[in-house]
Amino acid sequence: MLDSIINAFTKGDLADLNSKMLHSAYWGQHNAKFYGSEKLNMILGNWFALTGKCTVLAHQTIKQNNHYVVYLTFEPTNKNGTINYVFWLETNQLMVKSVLAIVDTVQLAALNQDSPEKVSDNLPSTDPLVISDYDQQDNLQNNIAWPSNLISKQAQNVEILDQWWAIWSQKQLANINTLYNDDAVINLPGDKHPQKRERLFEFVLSKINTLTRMFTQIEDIAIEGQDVAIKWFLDGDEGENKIRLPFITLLKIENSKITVDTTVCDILAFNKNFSTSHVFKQPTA
Amino acid sequence: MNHKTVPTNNVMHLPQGEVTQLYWKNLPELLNPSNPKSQLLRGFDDEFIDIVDYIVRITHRIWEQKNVGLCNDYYAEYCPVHTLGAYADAVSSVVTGTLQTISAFPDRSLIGENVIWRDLGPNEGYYSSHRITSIMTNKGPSEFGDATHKTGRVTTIADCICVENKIVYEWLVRDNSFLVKQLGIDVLDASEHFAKIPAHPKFENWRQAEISRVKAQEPSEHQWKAPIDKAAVEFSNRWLDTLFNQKNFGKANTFYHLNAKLQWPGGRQAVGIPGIIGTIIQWLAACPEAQVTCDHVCTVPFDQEKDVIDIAIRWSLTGSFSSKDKRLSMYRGQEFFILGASHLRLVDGKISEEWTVFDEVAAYANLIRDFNRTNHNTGAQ
Repeated sequence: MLDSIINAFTKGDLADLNSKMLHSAYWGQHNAKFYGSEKLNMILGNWFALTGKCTVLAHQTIKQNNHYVVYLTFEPTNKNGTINYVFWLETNQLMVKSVLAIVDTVQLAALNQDSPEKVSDNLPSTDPLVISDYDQQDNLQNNIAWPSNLISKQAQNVEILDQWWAIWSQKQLANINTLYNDDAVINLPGDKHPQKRERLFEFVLSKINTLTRMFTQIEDIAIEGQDVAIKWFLDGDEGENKIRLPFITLLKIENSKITVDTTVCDILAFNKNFSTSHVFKQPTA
Repeated sequence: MNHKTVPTNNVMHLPQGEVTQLYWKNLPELLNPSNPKSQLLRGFDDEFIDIVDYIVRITHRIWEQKNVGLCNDYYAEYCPVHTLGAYADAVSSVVTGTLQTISAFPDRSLIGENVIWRDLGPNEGYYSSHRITSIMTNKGPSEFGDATHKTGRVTTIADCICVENKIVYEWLVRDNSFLVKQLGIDVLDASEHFAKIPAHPKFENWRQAEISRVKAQEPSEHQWKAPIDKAAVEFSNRWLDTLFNQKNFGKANTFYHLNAKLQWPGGRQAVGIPGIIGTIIQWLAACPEAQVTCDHVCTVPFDQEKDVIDIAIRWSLTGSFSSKDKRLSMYRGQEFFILGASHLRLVDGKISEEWTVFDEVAAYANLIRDFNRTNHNTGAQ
């Protein structure tokens, strides 16, 4: 499956990846779902238009049950820069039922020296989304998912994952210093190069300071050894508007410390969906 | 759950585990099944191996291969078809409707997501609840307005009673509000356009009778004595009654997993209990006194080793419309009626995924029709 994805996105081998997709499979990307025979044509057509031919600089996979998570860093042959791309597959190892893919669109725009707006304009329309308003407080009902609720209590690193989740769900920023290795590698959306953990502090803080009634929800977790993939989203209010920002985070946990955190989200698709949002915009004077 | 072979009414029911399951099967395999027959299928063509195979292949032949005339073979001459916006009972109407839909959406392809079924007994046939994702481009005038030339996606649930190779009764629900939004049409504009299409008198009779029935909390007349997993029926009734009738949303955690995923009409998406509760509350707020009845339940195993089952529920809801939306405010106090269908996937006894489908466009169109009829009768402007 890994080779099929790499060959599709580096060489344009559409047929091989297509042969592994069920007729009923969908490809979710840029906050839209694509079904039918045209889905891969469209995804790969847009990809090569922006990157040209490219190679894979680094890859990582995490496999658990029917979850297969592939993280690839691409390097275009004729352009400077790299692009982070995560594919979350539902597969029975033979066929793919669904793909949720997040590509770092800010990195894509930087690669082409295009304005983000130009890349954003070329993204497909997002699916209609209604986020019904809700009470984001738990009210002592234990209704909110923590990693330890979704994975076996005996699983490795359960407590660390709960503490990591507290950074986002309870705004417990102090956990960044206690959980992350001093020289942990932090890859965040839109960043051209890996950062130190202080950058994560700023990234979380910027969301806390922009949004009210912030709420985070875990969708799925996949664990293989010391590698963990978490599919999750962040909801919040910006004035009268409610926003939703989907993420995939990949963690490497070594000796009870997080040594690598790669968090991806599709900033330009988000800005297209929530055009009045300031989550990823610098405030203007 | 007992999925072993058990004799009922002197008929040996075959195990459910052998019946076709769509989820991991590719289309060529579904269209050319190689497995032996797994159900009795009395009176059905020999080519079909089970009810799922029958539904999948006739749907493909009629819609994707465009053999619209096959409706004459696979629908009974008299076949009541209920939607929230119309009624038909002649096979010729089914042919006409299919042709008109294909004309407006010529590349419509139907992807079978799931068929949840029930063996109704040797003389009663089968109940099937077919969830479909359709992708289609609007190239001609439709019930929502002029052609938009845009491509959209829609979820449909078709509940059918199939007897001796023919569909003899159907309830059809489609998430039209999600579709029209993708076509660039405002939901209420689509409803106003839809309301101009005259409703069949039998449709109005059926809708009024259903409103009275649901208010009285009476069961649907379509009931069968065929065996069914009592736990699934009990869960379905309790789910609807607790959340929709009693409005006890604090009990949602007894029905849903903490990361349960929900798809509701119009693009309502939620994951997790707070979001799911919010979705139901926000929708019910437009009809706070709503009452619901559970009209039919069927269930099949999805993964017997891991205690995963699929449940299909057909339900009806009515109540006094009380929306605070400005454009809908003139319809306050009118009877609101929904024909709904839900597919639930339960893991270890709780919902991990829910797909609920009803037609908001038709529901609002019915309010508009009632409003216009009342004002026409009273001479009000």
